[in-house]
Amino acid sequence: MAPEVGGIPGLLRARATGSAGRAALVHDDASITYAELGARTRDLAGAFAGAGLTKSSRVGVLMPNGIDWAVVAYAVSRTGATLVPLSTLLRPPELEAQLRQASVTHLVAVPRYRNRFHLDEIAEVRPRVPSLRVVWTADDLPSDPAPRGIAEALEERVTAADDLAILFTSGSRGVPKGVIHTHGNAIRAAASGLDARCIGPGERIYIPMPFFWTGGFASGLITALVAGATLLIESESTPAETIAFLERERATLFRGWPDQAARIAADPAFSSADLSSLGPGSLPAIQPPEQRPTPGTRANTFGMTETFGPYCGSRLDTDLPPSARGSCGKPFDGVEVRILDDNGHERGPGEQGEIAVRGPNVMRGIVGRLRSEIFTRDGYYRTGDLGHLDADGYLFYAGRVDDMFKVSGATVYPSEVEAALHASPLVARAFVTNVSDNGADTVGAAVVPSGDATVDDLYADARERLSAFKVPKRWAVLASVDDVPRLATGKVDKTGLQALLTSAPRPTGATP
Amino acid sequence: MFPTEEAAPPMTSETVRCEDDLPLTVTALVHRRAEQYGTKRLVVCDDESLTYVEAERDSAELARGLLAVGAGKGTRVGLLFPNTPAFVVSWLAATRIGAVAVPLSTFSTAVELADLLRRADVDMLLSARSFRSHDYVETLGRAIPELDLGAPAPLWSTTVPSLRRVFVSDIHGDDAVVDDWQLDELRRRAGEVDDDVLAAVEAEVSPADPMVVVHTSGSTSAPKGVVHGQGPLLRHQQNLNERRHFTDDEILFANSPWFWIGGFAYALLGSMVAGGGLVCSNASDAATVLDVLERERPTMTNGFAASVAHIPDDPTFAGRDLSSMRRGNLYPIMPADARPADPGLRYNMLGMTEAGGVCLGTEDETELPEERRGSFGGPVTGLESRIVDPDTGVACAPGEVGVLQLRGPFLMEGYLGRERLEVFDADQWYPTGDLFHVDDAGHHYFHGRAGDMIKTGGANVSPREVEGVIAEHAGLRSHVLGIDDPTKGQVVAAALLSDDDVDLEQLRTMLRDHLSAYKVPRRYLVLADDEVPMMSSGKLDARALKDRFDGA
Repeated sequence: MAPEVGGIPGLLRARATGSAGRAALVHDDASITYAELGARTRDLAGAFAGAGLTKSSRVGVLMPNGIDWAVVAYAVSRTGATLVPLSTLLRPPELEAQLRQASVTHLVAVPRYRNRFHLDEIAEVRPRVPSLRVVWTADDLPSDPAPRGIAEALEERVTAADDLAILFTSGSRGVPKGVIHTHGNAIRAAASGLDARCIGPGERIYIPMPFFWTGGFASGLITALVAGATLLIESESTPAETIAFLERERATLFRGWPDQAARIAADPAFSSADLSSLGPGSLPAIQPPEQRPTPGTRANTFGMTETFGPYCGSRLDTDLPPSARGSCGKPFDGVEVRILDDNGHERGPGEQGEIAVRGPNVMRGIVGRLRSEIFTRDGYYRTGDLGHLDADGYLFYAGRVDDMFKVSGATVYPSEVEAALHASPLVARAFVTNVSDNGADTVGAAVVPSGDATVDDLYADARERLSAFKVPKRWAVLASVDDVPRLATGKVDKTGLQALLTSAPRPTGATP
Repeated sequence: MFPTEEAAPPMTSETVRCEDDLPLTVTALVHRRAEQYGTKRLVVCDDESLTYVEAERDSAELARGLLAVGAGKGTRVGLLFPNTPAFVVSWLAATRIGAVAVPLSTFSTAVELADLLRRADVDMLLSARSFRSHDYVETLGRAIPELDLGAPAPLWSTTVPSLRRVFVSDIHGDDAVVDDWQLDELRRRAGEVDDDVLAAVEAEVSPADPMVVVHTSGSTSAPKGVVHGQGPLLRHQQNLNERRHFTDDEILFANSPWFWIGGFAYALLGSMVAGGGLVCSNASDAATVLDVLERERPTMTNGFAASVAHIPDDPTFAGRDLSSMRRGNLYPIMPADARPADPGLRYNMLGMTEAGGVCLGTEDETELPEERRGSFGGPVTGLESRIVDPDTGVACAPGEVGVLQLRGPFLMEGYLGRERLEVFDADQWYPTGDLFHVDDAGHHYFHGRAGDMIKTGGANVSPREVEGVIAEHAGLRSHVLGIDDPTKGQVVAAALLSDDDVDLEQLRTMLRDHLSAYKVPRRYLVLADDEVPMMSSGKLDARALKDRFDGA
C-alpha cells in the first residue's frame, strides 16, 4: 500500500507501532519517542474533536519550534482539520492578512515569546478576522475528550486527498501566498527526496529550521516522519552548544544553515569534538577535510513551498558527473519539469526559460486563487524561476524571472553576476540586483570582501570576469553578511538592497 | 420577448445580453439580483414562490443563524429538501457565507442518506420534515441511531462523525422535539449576529472557494461527490445561458430535482444568473401541473421528457393553453407549432455532474440534415474535448468510436476523497467514460458508456448502434448489453421493450442484413415497459437487467 493512503494519521499510527521506541524528535534536552508521539497526538486529537474540530476547520499554530509544536500539528491532522503554520516573527498586520487569507477558525498560540506578547497582538487583529472562533493558548489546550469513538471515526475519514496544510510563502517582494498541500502530495514529496538527501530510517538528522516555514515543516518534521528518522532541533544556540548537541545526540546528518556550518567549523570546540557519527551527506564545512567534496561537485538541492520542499537533487554523498556540475540534479519522482518561453511553449535542452513543474507532489492550489489562474491548461505551475535542462535531464538554476533586468537592451541575470563574483578570490559573498541610475537600470553589487579589497579593486577584477554590460557599476562594500538587508523570512530584501546601492559609489572610471 | 407565433426565433448576437461583470460568488450574485429584480419571482413551486428580494432577505436571516451556531467558510451544510423555496433559502444562506452546500437526494433510503452524510463529511444538515410519502425525520432516525430530537444538541455519532447539528423545518410546537433541532432555531439565533458581522464574513468569500458538492446519481457505482467552485460554476451557467438564449425575459419550466446537477445548475443557478424565473411543480397529478403551467406561462422548458410523458394523457390536456412554451426540450407538453417535426433531427445536449451541467451541445435550434441525426454538436464555451481509444489513450480519427475526454476551467474541482491524479490525467484531461465518435465537421455522436462497450470475441460492439438498428428497422425500443460468456468474453444481448410477443427469428434475420454478424444479439428478452429494472434516479439498472438474462 502506498504510504500516503491513510494520510499523516496513518503514518503516525504505523510509526507508533513499527518504530515505537525510536525518538521522533529531540529538542535540546527533551525528546519524544514515536510511541509517545502517537499516544499524545491521539489524546489531543480526541480533545480537539470534543472541542469541535472537523475536516472543515482550519487551525493556526503560532508557536516556536519544539515538541509541543509537533504534537499540536499532528493532533490537528488526526481530526482531519487543515493546519496553518504561522511565523512567530509576523507583525500584527501580517498575522491578520494570513489569518484572513487562510480563514483560520481556531488558533493555538504561545502567549509570549522573545518579548512578543502574541495574545495581545491576536486580540488586536481578531475583530478583523471573522472566521476566527476560538483561540487556545499553547499551555491551556482542550483536555475533555470527545464522546467515545468520535475521534477514531473522524480520523478514519482522513484520506490522501484531504488538505493537510496551508503554508505561507513570499517571494523576495511578493504578497504572501497560502499554498495548499494535501496529505497525499506532502507525503509523496517528502518521500521522493529521501534518497537524494541521504535520509533513511533510523537516521538522526539535524535540521534547525522553523516548523512554520517549509524548510522546517516539510523538509524537517514531515520528512522525518515519512522516513522514520529522528529529527534533532535546538533553540537558539552558540556554535559550541550546537557542537555539544550534535556530539551527544550522535547526529548522522547535519543540514543546518551554510553560514552556521562555517561558524561551527571555525569554533575552537570543533577540533576536539567527536562528530564521527556524521554521514557524508552533511554540509561540507562540517565534514573532516579528507571527506569534504571538491566545491561545486555536489548538486544544489532545489525546491520551493509549492513543491513541499526539494523537487530536484542528486545524492548529496556522490559527485555529479562533470557535465552536470553546477546543476540542481534531476527532478525527483512525482515532479515533471518543463522549461517554457514567454509564450508558454516548451524550450529544448540547453535553452533557458522559466521553470514550470507539475505532478503528484505539486501543491493542490493557492488560497483565494482559481486553479486556472495558477496552472497552465496542461497542469504546469510556472515557478518564477529561470533555468534550463541539459540533454541528460539535469536542471540548472539561473535566478528569479522577476530579478532579471535589461541593461542597454541586453539581459542581465543577477545570479550569473553573483556566481562570477563568487569565483573571485577577492569576494566572500556578493548580492547583485538592478539599480536605477538616471532612469535606466544598471547593475549593482553589495559585496563582503575576503580581504581588504576596495571598490576599485573589485571593479577591476569584475571586468576581467564579465561582459561589460554585466559588470556592476554601483558597489557597496559590507563588513559582514549581517549587513545585508533581509526580510523576516531570512530572504534578501531586494528593495532594501536597491536602496543601499542607489547611494553607493561608482568606481573610478565607471560610467552609468 | 420572442413573438409567440414563430416556432424558433431568429438567433442573433443582439438577442443575448451578456453581463460582463457577472458576480462570481453567490454572495455577490444574491445582492446584485435583489437590487436589480426586487419583487420579481425567482422561483415558483406550485403554490409557493420566492422573489429575488425575499431570497436575499430570508437567506441573510438564515445565514446569521448559521453563523451563530458556528458555520463559516468551508463548513459542509447538507440540504435535504424537495424543490421548494426552503431549498433556495437554505442553499443561499450556506453559500453566501462561504460554506459548502451538499444537496442530498430526497429519494435516499436511510442507508443511502447515512452513506452520503458520511462520505461528504457533512457538519450540519438542514432538512424538510417530510415530502409526499417520505418522512425525513423517521428516515434520519434510522440513518443516524444516535440522533435524539428529544435531547439537546450537539449530535455525536460514530456513523456520521462530523455531523453536529440537524435543523428540521416545520416541527415547531412539537413537544417531543427540543428547539435545538428545529430550523426555526436558526431564525431565533439570527439575532446573535448583527449585519456587520454577516457583511464581514461575506467579504471574505472568494470565487475560488468551493460552492457545492453535487453527487452523481450512481447508476453504475457508489455516488461520487463532485465539488464545484463558486466562480467557475457561475461563469459556466452564464456561458450556457448565452448558448440557450436564457435572458431575464424568460421563465423556465423545469422539474429536474435541485439536488442533482441538472436541477441545481442548469435550472436553479442558471435562472438566477439569467435574472429569469424558474417554475416547477411537485404535483403528482397532471391536472395540477397543467394548472401551474397555464397560470405561470413559462417560455422555455428543460428536463427529461419522461418526467412529463404522462401529462398529455390527462383528459383536460387538449383544452389547456400551453402556448407560452416556445423553446426547450419537453416536447410532450409544448404546443405543436413549437415542437420539431422530428425530434431526432434536433441537436442533443450532453450534461454531466462533473461538467457543472452541459458540456456538449450547440446554440443552433434548427432542424439538422439527415446525416447529422443524433448529433450532440461540440464542446460548449470554455471546454475542450477530444476522443481517445479507451485502451491505448491514443486520439481517435474522425469516425472512430472512443472515450470522450474534457478539459477546461469549468470542470469540477474534483471528487471528494479522491486525489486529483486519480481523476485527471497528467495533461488535466478528464475521461468522461462516455463513448463518442466525431465526424469531419466536429459533430459528436453518442455510443453509450465506455463500461457498456461490449467486447465479444475480440471485437467491440457499441450497444447504441445495435439499439439504433432495432429501433429503425423493427420499430422496437431496446436495451442492448453484454452478457458474460466463457468462450467469447461477452455476447451481445438485447432486451426488447414490447407488450406483445416478438418474432425473434424474423428479427434476427432482419438484423443480419444490417449488422456485422458479431454485432447481432445472441440472446433476447422481451419485457413490458414497467418490467425494466430502474434506479431511483430514473436511469436503467444495468446490473439488474443482466441478472434477468442470467436467470432467463
